[in-house]
Amino acid sequence: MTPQIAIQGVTKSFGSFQALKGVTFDIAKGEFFSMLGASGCGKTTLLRILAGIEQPTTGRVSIDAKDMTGVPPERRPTNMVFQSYAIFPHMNVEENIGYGLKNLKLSRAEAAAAIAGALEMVKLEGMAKRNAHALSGGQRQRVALARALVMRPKVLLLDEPLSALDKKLREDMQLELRAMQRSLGITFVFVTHDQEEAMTLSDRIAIVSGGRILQIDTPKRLYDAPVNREVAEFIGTMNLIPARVSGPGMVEGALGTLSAAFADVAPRETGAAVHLALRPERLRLGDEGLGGTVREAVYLGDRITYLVDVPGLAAPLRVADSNRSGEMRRIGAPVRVSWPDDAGLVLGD
Amino acid sequence: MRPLTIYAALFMAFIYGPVLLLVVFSLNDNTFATFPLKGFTLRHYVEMWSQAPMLAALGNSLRIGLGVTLLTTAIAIPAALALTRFRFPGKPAILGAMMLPLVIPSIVLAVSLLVIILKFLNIPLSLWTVAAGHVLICLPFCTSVLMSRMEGFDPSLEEASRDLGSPPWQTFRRVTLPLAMPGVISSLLLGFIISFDEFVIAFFLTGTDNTLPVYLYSQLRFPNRLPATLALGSLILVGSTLLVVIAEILRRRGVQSNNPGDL
Repeated sequence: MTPQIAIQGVTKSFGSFQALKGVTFDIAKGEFFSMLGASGCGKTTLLRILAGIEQPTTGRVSIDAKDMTGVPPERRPTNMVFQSYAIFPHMNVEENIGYGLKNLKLSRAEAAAAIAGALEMVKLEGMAKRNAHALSGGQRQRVALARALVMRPKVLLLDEPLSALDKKLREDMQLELRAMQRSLGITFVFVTHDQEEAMTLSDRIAIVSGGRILQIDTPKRLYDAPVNREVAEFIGTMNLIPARVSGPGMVEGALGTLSAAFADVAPRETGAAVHLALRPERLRLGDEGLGGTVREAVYLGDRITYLVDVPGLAAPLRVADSNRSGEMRRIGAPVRVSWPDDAGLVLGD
Repeated sequence: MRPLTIYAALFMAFIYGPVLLLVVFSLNDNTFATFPLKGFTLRHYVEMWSQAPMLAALGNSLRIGLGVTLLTTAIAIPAALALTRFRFPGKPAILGAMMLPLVIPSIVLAVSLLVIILKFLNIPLSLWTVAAGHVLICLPFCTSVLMSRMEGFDPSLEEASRDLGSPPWQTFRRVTLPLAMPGVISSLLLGFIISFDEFVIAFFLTGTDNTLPVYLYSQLRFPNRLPATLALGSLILVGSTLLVVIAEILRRRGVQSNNPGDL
């Protein structure tokens, strides 16, 4: 993979607030790359630095091996879809999409063809003359996308473009975005706070928190091998049981002493406070294992989620039952919880 | 009638009664502005056009108003842009200094300007010095009208323009200025009306030429010229009402076109 974007030691301060505390990573050419984090974590700031709207306080960004320091947004090979869409209210759909083309010095015919192509790509044929005010949220989102893509950027930057849409529309647009990215082969850098959206779309995801990158990995690796508790809590749901390291590859806690795999950066010295992490779907209810009682049972059709109180544990265990048997356990019923040996993962904070 | 309705009616009568009297007397067939009314005439409106000094003063006021509002708005646009778009050291102080003429009594302003112009700058008094004084008092009004308009739209519109390849100047021309246009028009109208109407500064800073308010004041000593003054006053009333209505229509249209952008 050729890195298309290289981010090296980037920090950004707004007055006394440090939005980015030193970020270094590469984004490969043609990759669908997401930055996932809670609001205020610095992900949008980093995206705006890639666009050239903000300049890093220290560090630098290069795109296609060219240093972008001091290069203004209008001279970068990037285009952006803004969270608010930023549709020009004094222009119609066609004028919005053609806005940037005027800067490219195309002939009238070339520009018209490019606009028609963009309208077709976002399925807004026949809407060219529609006024910006008369557009629905989904249509505005499509115009914003067409307006950016018609510029043929090397990198498309998307700032939570789907967060204002309702659930159904959002899911449709996710699939369309993914298909569009594959067929165009453009690098997409996508900012979101929705982990499911990031998992659906991305080749790789960066987990951003407090101005730092916690982990960059494929969705599968993030889910199966989070580096620490924070990532584990961010991606999917995780049972986290407080424990202490009792020896090499061993932890002890309320569940007794057991052996488990350690995450790469988890503390290993005996006595260190750690968490034993167990995914709900790896837990089984059956005849053997840990005894407990069902506190809550939620029937979701394709699965049943149980909260099981286990003596000695502060928080109930979350168990996702695949509902293969079609049976549902009653609240208050005694159950036993077990899991395969490779399900447990030891994580630091 | 409910008490509030009566209150509202009295309120309107109090405010608009004197103004309506002006119109009524301008149409009354009598040299003196007294009751009972004698009869309807348009005579004063015809006579008005034969009073050369009054028409000269009107012409001066129109020219100063136009020039002042164009210059003030041209200064206020970049000022409002800087004050709404950027953070820079000394911004509150600069904003405060620009707004200060709003709270300084115009008599104080007029006297100090007079001293500066005559003693320090040594410029003879003329319509130019009046215009300069008017730019000073119009600036806070024009700047705040433009600032409220420029604060009203999404800053990502300008960012999007840059992102799509337009350098700052082009972004200003293609996005900022069209979106600020209702504010620009309000600023132009406001600046014109303030200058056209202004008495104290014009009175102190003018040379041999008069602006209309100064001229009208000087004519109060001659009762026989009053009807023509009333006629002119009525015409100005109609004219400025029209301007305000146009400004309001434009402002509302601006609000409408801006709302979807806030979605």
